[in-house]
Amino acid sequence: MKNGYIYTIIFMFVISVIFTGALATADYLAADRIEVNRLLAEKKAILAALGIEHDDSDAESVYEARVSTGQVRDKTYYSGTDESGALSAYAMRFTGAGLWGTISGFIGISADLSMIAGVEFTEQNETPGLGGRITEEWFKDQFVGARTSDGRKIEYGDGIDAITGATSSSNAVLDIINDFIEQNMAYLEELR
Amino acid sequence: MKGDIKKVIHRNLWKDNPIIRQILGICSALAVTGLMVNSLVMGIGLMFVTAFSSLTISALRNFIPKRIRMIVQTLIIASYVILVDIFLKANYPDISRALGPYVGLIITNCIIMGRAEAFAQKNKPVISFLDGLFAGAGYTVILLMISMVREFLGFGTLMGYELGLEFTRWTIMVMPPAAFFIIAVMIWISSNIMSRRKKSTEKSKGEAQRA
Repeated sequence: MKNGYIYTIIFMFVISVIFTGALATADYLAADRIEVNRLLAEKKAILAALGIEHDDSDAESVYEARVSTGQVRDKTYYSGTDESGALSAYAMRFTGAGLWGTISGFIGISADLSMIAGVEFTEQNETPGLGGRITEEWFKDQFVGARTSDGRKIEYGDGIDAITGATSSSNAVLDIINDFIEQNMAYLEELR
Repeated sequence: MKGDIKKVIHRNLWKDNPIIRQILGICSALAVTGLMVNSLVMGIGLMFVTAFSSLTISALRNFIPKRIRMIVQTLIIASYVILVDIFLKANYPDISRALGPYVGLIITNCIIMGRAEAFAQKNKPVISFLDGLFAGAGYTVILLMISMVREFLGFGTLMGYELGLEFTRWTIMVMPPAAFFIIAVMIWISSNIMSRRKKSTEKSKGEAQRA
């Protein structure tokens, strides 16, 4: 009986229903929390790209107070203000090819469009410890202040260092930033 | 029962340790041993999955039709793995991001299927649960030892704490191949100890017989 076809099929059916049911329930219960985490991570990234200082605990309130969202043609942009409430920077989402996978995140440009205000990654699959170091503060901070208005591309050297042992990932980030400037400056010009 | 538990612990942690004795679960041992925190979380995840999948499979062992037992095992294992993944995503998003796809890959970890087939299939639930738990623990201990070496030499930190030592970091330690060398050395040492112990017990047996 135990090895009969009918028993086998019924057994498989019942056990599948039980386990997928349990998983669906768990997924349903956790979905809100996962979404909250994702949004919070995104808000932190936008704040960092806009060059707005914040702690892990007050990211939400700082974001509410100092960041607003807008639309220019088909693109979403985020604008940030400084302490006095004056416009300080714009940020936009970017997506580009890294060495192993997609690198995405936000790049901020100062309000007068002359330089980079911040770079922050939300997703990257570079080699941990090598290319993965693009997420370290010192690396991202190097790009802050890099000139964007004179039409020249940003290059390594002159105060911006690539990561030793991670040339491909470093170059990928540089290409992404240069492409971003090339493609998005026109949109940002319209805002002025 | 008590003797059985002792045997299970000894077997999984040392005598038949999944990584250095059975050479199972090597892929993740290379991938997540760059940092001790990642190894620890991965190890705890694996302990949870092996323990509960062994428990479930053992509890169902008299009902599972023989010819589809592997499909059923995979279904059960996959369900627990997805639970771990959801739990990490909801409660520890940073660690979830650091482990990336590896949590999902616990499904393919041969240790779990190995324990299910070799032990849970034929034993009672409680002892199967412990067997799974300690097989996971045997894996975790080895992973932590590997990641300790890799994190120290590669980053100069332990568990993420800066040790403040000035030396040139070993780039090779950061990359997965480093784990190969470290595992090989560990296998070498453990095999040596094993064979030496075997020889000494044979010797004492021989002497006992002569006397």
